Amino acid sequence: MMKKYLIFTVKAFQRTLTYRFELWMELVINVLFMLVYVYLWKALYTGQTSVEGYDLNKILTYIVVSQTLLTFTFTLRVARIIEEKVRTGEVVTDLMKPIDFQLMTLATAAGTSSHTALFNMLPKFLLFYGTFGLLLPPSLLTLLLFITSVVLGYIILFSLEFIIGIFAFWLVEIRGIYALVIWGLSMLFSGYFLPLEFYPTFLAKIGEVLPFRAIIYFPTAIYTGQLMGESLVTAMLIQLAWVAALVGLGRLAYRAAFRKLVIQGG
Amino acid sequence: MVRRYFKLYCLLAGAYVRSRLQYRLSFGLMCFGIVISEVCLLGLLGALLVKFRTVNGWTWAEVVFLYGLGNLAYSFMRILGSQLDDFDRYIIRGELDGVLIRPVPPLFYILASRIELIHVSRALTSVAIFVVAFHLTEIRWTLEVALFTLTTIVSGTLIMFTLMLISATVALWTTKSGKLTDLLISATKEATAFPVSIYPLAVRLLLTFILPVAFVTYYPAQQLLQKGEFLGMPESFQFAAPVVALIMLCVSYLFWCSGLRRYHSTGS
Repeated sequence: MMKKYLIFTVKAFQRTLTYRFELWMELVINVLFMLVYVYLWKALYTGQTSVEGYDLNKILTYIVVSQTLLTFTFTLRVARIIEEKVRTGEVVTDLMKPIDFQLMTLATAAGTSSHTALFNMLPKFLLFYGTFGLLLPPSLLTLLLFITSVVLGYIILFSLEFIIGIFAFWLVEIRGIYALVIWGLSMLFSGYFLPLEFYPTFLAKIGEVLPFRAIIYFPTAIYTGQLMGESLVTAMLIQLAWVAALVGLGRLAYRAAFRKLVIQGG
Repeated sequence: MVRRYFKLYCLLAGAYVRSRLQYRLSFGLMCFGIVISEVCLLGLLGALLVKFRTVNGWTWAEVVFLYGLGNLAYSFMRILGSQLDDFDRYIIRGELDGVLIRPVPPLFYILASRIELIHVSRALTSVAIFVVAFHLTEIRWTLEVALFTLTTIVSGTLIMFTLMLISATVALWTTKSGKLTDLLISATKEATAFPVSIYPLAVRLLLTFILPVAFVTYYPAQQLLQKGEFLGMPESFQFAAPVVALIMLCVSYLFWCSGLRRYHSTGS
């Protein structure tokens, strides 16, 4: 049953291997991005020992982990891919296949993203880990919980993009919503730029009712040991709830979309 | 001659703008999205600097000033040079062949066939940010300051544009450049939002001599804000932005031409 979806994952993984130069350059530029932030925080912390429970080592670890996780956000092109499929009409061939559209999209995205994780995120992280003497998770269990949390966060990000992509059935052009949700709200509330503890209270309050902190902040705070014990369990339960809600919403959205779908002959 | 090109530009760009305005809702949403994301980023920067007060001796107002300056150049470049953003599709789909047989310089045709008005929303946001920052930093408005600021913004736009052109040209060799151009430009823009003095020597040299975006914000700001922070570089760098822009224009255009000369169609 799962095997046919796995084929999508493997194929997507292989497809990413085609353009190596692009991948290498992407890595180099990503490193430049992260350097900017690492040195910004180093400069901010001169003369400070600890702010909001973060000392220099911990904040650098936070920044590098969150920036690494952010890679998923800008390499996942699910919304764009769905939009393209709708515009070109290619979506029809997907609908004719005896498979679930949402699962197939997830399986394909997972293939591309596992390539990104292995050949972009991991080396990037190790490079910064070695250069700046970052922290490791407090225990092996935390590491495992961190990875689980990353996967949950990934599914949340995927589901958001999936829903945005489905909007293409009504809007034709979705770059607007995409920019608003992913580059606006998600950037502000995911905690990629600074830990949510640093936010002014009203902003933090708004962030608490939105799904975005579950994408980057939760896994990163688990990694740095900021979330432990009860708060860690709560965080992961919130993630699970968002996974359920957004995956469900995605299904509803695409069923509604497919019902109204009219295909022009071509 | 110039008039003919100007008319042609308006004609081509106008056609694109009209086609974009067909999807008004999407257009509006996109503008709104850009404004929100700009404001969000500024909000984050604000939250950060309120907590820490200064970065390497630069106050909140001064950092916002840098941010505004870089963002202005970035948004103008985005309005005029959007086409280079996903230039590789010209090659992948073989559209470049069609461009090459037209009786105008290919680069002119490519740039003219798309002028992205959505980024006007970004430009307006940047203007607002910049005006506020200008006010906060207590720079006195004189004719000289105004002219210097204007030259800085124009040079900054050109410098960013040439980086975009160079990275787009790479696709003539590699066929695909994907999001590279976009990434490179975003990364360099991000780097210009903060004083270059926070980076180690290697990164400073990179941002001064190889991807010379330090001339978009940091060096000119030395003059405008009277910081006197040169880190061993010549003091004349504060006036060098137009020269750098000119050099970069020549280099990038030569690179573009050499790319075109060796271009082979993908045949698709």
